[in-house]
Amino acid sequence: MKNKLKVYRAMNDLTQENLANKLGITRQTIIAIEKNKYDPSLSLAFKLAKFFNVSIEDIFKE
Amino acid sequence: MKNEENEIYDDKKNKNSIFKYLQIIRIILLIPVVLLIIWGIINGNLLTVIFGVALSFIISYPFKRKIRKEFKVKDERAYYISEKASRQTLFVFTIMVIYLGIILDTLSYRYPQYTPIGITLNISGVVIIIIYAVFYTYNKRKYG
Repeated sequence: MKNKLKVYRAMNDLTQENLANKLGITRQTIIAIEKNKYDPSLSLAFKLAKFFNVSIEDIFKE
Repeated sequence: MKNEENEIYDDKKNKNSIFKYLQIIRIILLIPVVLLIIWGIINGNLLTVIFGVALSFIISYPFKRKIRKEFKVKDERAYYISEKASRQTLFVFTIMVIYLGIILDTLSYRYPQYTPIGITLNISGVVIIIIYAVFYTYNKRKYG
């Protein structure tokens, strides 16, 4: 699954570490999602969407 | 903002050091128990081995509980990775056990002394597959 996490992170001027800390996850998870190596759980996808104030579809797409 | 991030970083650092400290204490406490188990195995003393294994569980449990409670896994990939690794381990191990068993059974005419080992390995392989199938069905029903 492709995603625009890196774009949204850059738009909000956040480092991977900052975003991970704010969401209570590890930096490695952020790296894996950004590299399309790992599809996050539904709850994390919701967390990300809520954090960036967008819908899940805005960040993730098939 | 910066202070808040520093606090989170410090908290993370403290938790990591406490986690390492707890793990070190656990290992130090378990070393004599492991030695006791090894001694029991060497001397063929079943009671000592059973006592040692029970003791290791008793020692490990409070640490495991504390670690699970205080240091909840934050990397959700850990479950996914662990699940994949378990599946691959099971697959490779079962194939190895069954193949080795078949090879030993096939060579029974030349090495009859290894035939019981071959049969034991084949039975073990089948038992592993049955247990997997039981848990697979259970979880499939549980999660619809």
